[in-house]
Formats: sequence, C-alpha cells, structure tokens
Amino acid sequence: MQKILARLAIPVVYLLALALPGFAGQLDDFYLAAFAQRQPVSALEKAILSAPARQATAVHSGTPLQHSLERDWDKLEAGTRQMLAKQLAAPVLSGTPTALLSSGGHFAIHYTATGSDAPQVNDYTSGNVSYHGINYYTGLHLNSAADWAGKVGDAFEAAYSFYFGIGGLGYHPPANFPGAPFDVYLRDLGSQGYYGLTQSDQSAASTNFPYAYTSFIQLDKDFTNPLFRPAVYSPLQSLDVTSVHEFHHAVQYGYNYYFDIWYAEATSTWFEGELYPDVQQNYGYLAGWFDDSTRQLDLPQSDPDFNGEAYGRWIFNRYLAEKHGTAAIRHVWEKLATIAPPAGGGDIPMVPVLDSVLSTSYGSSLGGELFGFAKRVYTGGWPWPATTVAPAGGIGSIPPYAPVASYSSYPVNGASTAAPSVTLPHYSFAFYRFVPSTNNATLTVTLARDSGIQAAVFQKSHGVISEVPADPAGASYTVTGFNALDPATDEVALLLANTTGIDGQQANFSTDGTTQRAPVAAGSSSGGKSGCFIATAAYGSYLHPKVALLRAFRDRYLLSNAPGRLFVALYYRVSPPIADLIARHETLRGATRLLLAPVVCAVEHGGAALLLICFALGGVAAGRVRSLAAGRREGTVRSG
Amino acid sequence: MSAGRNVILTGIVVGVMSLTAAAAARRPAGQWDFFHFDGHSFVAGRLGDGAPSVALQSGVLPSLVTQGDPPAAVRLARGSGALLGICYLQSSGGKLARGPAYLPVALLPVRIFSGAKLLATTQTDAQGYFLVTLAAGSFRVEAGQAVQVTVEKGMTTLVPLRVGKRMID
Repeated sequence: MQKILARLAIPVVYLLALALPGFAGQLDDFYLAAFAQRQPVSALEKAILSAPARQATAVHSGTPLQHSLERDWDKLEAGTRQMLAKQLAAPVLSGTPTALLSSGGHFAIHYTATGSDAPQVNDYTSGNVSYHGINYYTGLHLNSAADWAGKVGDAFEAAYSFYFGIGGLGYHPPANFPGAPFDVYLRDLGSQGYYGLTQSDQSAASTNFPYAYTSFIQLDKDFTNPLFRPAVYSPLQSLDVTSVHEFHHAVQYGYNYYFDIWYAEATSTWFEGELYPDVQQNYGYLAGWFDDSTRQLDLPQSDPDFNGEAYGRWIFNRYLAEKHGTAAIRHVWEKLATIAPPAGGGDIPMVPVLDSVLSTSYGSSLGGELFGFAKRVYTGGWPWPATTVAPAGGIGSIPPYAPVASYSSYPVNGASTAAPSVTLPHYSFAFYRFVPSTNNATLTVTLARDSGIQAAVFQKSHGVISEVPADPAGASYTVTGFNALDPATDEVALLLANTTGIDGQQANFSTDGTTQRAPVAAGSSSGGKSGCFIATAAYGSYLHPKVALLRAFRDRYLLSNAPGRLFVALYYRVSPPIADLIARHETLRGATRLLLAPVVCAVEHGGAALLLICFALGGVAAGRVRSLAAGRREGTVRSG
Repeated sequence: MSAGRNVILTGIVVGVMSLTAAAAARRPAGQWDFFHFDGHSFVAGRLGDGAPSVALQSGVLPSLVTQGDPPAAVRLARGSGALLGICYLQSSGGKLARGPAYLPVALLPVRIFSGAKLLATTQTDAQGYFLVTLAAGSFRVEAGQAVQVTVEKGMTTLVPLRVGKRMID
C-alpha cells in the first residue's frame, strides 16, 4: 500500500505543479475581468465588447472585491499587478458602484445611487435637515443619478475638446490615453470641503514625457452642499469649472509628475475662466493674493495661507497669455516635461522654468513680466479676449490693488507710523498710497533700494492714471500739483517690486529726501528649525541624533540667555560657508566629527566630560610644572 | 625642547580625549531621541494624540511609538544599521478647506537594492512605516519612487518616500 502511495505521490505532485499556473492564470483573468481591465484578445471579442458599451457593467471600487484583490495580490502575475494596482488605491463608493461611459468614450464616470456618495437629483433630508437637490438649483429635470453622471461625462468631454480637440489648445493628453477611459469617481467630497481631487496613479514614461504619470479624478457627487454656495454657483457651474480644473491636473501629471504645486493650481484655475468665463468663480481668489502681494509668487504649498492665496495667482497666467498668446502657458508645461526631478525626488521649482521660457521664447524675463503685471494690477485695463464675454461686473471683478500702507500726513520718513520701508522676498511686490494734502504743492518720493528692486510711481487724477517719470538718476519721483488733487478720489501710488529670484531685497523711501537703509527683516533669528550647520554637514543629516542633541543644547542652554544668543547669532553668521565646504569633502566631515566629539561628549555626558577635561588639564598642568621644575634645576646647575 | 614636548603632550591628551569621546558617543546612552514625519521630512520632536513618532538611540533598533515610553532597547547587530521609512501620498491644495498634508500608504511593498541586487523586500505597516536592518552601506530603496540612502553602523537612517501625489481642487 505504501509503495502504491509513494508511486502515486510523484505524478500527483507533477499534476499539481502543472495545474497551479493554470489556476494562477484563472485568478488573473478573474480580477482583470472584474475590474474591466482585460483587453479583448480576438476580433470577435473586440466587436462584442465595443458594440453595446454605453453602460459599463464592470465592478469598480467594490469594497469586498478590493479586499479580495489585496489578499490575492501576491498570487498574481507582475503584468496583472501593474494593470490592477490602481484598483487598490481606487476610491470606495458608499453603494453599489456603476460606471457610465461618457458620450465621447473618453471617460468612465463611476457613481452610486445609494448612500452618502449618491448624487441627489431631488430635494432630500439628511439628519433632520432638508436640502435642495440638483434640479432645484439648475432647473434641469433629471430623473436619476445616472442622468447626472451623464452631465458629468459631458462636462469632461467639453474639457477634453478644449484641451486636445480640433481648434483646442494643443495640450498633450494625459498618459491614460489612448487606452482605457479616464476614471472619474463621484463622491461626497463636500463633507471634507473639496470640490474635487486628482491623484497620480502609475508612472507612464515615454520618450518625450519621461516623467509622465497616469491619474484619476474624484469629484463631489453633485455640488449641492451649502459649502459650494449652490444658490450663487449652480451645481452645473461648479461641475463645469471643477471638471476643466481637475482635468488639467491630469494633463499636468502627463507632462511631468514633479510639477510645482502653486503653478499647477495657477494654471488649472486660469482655465476655469478660459472655458467658462461667465462663471467667474476664480475671481474670488484674487483678493487673497493682492492683499498679500509681499509674499513670493511661488508660494510653497506648505504655507498656511496657500489655499487662500495661491489660487489667485492664476491671473498672472492670464497676463502672460494676453501678452504673449495662450500658447505661452503650454510652452511652460512643455518645457517642464523635459526636466528631471531634483535629487531626492522633490518637485521641480517652476520659477526658473518660467524665466527660461520667457527669456528664450519671448525675449522677456520673469522679473520683467512680474513688474509689468504689478503695474497692471494698479492701472487695471484688462483686455477681454474676443472669444469670451467680460464678467458682468466688468473690471470690478478684479479687485483693486491693496496698499501696504497709506499716508495722509507729511513728510513721510523714518518717523512715520507706518514704516516707509520694505524687505521683499523673490518675485513679490508692494504698493504704498499717498493721499493728497492741501499743504503739499509738490510731492517728491525719494528712494533707496537694493539692485533687485524695481519701482514705479503712479498719479491718479480725475480717474485718469499716469505713470510719473523718475528723475535722471532714478532715485526720486516728483508730482507737481499734489495739493490740487482730490483726496477723495485722487492719489499717488508707489510700486516696489522684487523682480529677482533673490530673497530679502530692501527698499525705503521718504517724501523729505531722507532715506536710509531699510532695517534687516525681523525673524532671522536662529531658533525654530534652523540647524547647527557645521554639525549637520559633519554628521550628514539634520536628523542625526548627535545634531539633534546639539540643537537641543542650543535651544535650552544658549538661546535662553543673552551671551548664548550672541554666540549663536555669531555662529550662524560665520558657519554656513564653512559647513558648505565641510559637506563637500568626506575627509573634512570625518575630521569635523572627530573635533566635535568632545563637544558632543560634553553635551551628552556633562559630568563625565567635566571629569575627563579636569583630568586632561591636570595632566597638562602637572607636565608643565615638572617641566618648569626641571628647567629651574637645569638653570641652577648651569648657574652653579 | 620642553616646549615641543608640551605641544606633543597636549596633542596626545586631546587625541585621547577625542577618541574617548568618539567611543562614548557610539555607546547607547540610554536616551531616546524622537522624530516625527511632518508630511515632507522627519523633524525632531514627538507628536501627541497617539500620532506615531520615531524613537532613535545610537546602536539600538528604532521604535515607532504612539504613546508611552518606547519598548526596551534592542541592540542592533554588530556592523549593522537600521533603515526606517514612511511611504506617503502627498496631499496639496484646497480652495475651501485644507486636508491633511499627507496620507500614509499601508501594505505597500518596499524593495531594497544594493547595486542591481535585490537585498530585501518588506511591506509598510498600517501607518505607512517600514523598518529593515542592513549592514552599513549604500542602498537604493524603491516603493513607487526610488531613493539612494546610506546606512551607517549603529545608526538609523530615516527615509520619507513619496509614492503618490494628489491635488485637492
């Protein structure tokens, strides 16, 4: 019996071994079919699948299926994993998901008719509160969530034509195309305060787009949440501007995954008004920038004010497009497509890219354009493209300039309440306003400034704005008849702009000829996240425990008293270039670590270090005493 | 002659002090240093509210701590260091509201290469973190994004790995 079993065992093992790949293949096919990712393999299959396909029946974003996929992940082939990777990250809808193919076939709109993610066509109640549905705000007579999904598909097809269609803007389509339709998921994002979001998916590098990624989009289910002000911007309007906005993010991922966040938002928000000029939702973000124009153009996304201010930077794109043509913005993205990310995989700063495109293709510069833009902020006079309709509010839709300070008592000088000086970060600007005074027949604004600051003075009289020429030396501007201007409607304004990529450019001014260097900006202390430069260079990382130890020592024992603060200030003044040198040479790094070791030891083991130092000093002193004694004996012998 | 001898003696004393201090610095001091991930990099300090922080100590395996004290120190094997990282999805923007700066990515395979050779494969935990111990050297870590890291003997290298990017609004 044992012999028979032993003989059977070998063929059974062989059979199992042969069968396993077959099962694996079935598992792959199962998941590929379930997630509608299996490509048709025969002409007949292609014909069958392509004919009726308006209503897709694939199981997208179903929770149990995603969990099964996660469980069986290791059993799938590499190619299958690659195709299904996004399904693990795909959003999970609140009810049974359905996918609707858009009329042009470019988009799969994933929605559900039940649960919190279901679009509300009619008025509804949630938590004892009644809400209006899509039909109330739009006047549409939609019957179901599927009808709204169809509208979503139409909006995305419009964006598709706008960017890539005949007569479109000539952008390169996202890396998702050609292939499966682009995935758009309708979810209750209003509860999180989001209109929509676009998420990177997989690397899709090609020859011309080596850093391209595919992506997918999530959109609020219906934009009826009061947060979206549906009575002001109907759900259809919010859908329109959000679809063109988010879809350009997908375009951006297709150009270069490593795009700079502020410019991505500035471009997407600009296109809202280009395709849907009558909605004008994007004008609401301008005041955020104009009121805080002393912040750099490329506001980092980590800045607490990013969501209030960065979106307003779209109008700089509009300025560039009106001056150089709409294609100028596309050229910036095309330039970005070719640029490798910095070491470490961070995003590519967009300011140098903009400057490069403007200088090589348009004979201009980012600094020059920013100065021109800042002038336009004051003078207004935005032209409206012939193909679009000016906002109902006309130029009033663009907020007026926001002065940093307004002066009505003269002279303006260092004694004025609002300091007549400014320190500007790179690519930023500031306005100052002078209210006419009957006591001053002439207003002379005298400037002292760093070389990176450009200035202009404007006079507004009876609604007419003119630029005041500078004196030949470029150091002062004179306005005659200042006292004849109407204080209620007229004014003189000074524009100061840092038109360089260098931070900390300073300027000050006066109206009595007294100018002095602007004070060094506050906040340059060494506290907070500033590092111990030399230690960081020596140990190779700001995060190294020894560096952290020294930082803690600095914060606790040095910054807590005046002599310590003085020492730290001196250290921070002299150490950066030394640290830079150390960081570049491994030998120097090692030597510095050796030199720092007693310091680290003293900080880390205070008592023991003190004992050791006493011992060492004692040894040196003893040696010295012995040496002196020997010298005296020798002297005595010699003299004797 | 005596002055030269003094200089030599002083040099020897300083040298011995430095070597002693260097040796002392390599010993586990029994003191944990805490770091946390801020959405971009690891920064010094410990987070409250049950948020994960990394506890580091020279020569000791790092720990991920959400509350209370770190567990008992476990020494790293002689000649090895640790690599502790987080895989995250960067989240940016928001017209009306600002979301979290990042979302940790759980159950993501992470591969560690030495040159072209695959040395180790691990997976992120529920909070997006992964930890491996390696012999000191230079490695390439891949998880959506690839980064080059250096692991030092007895030390922990902290690696933030951005594996995706999402634009809110």
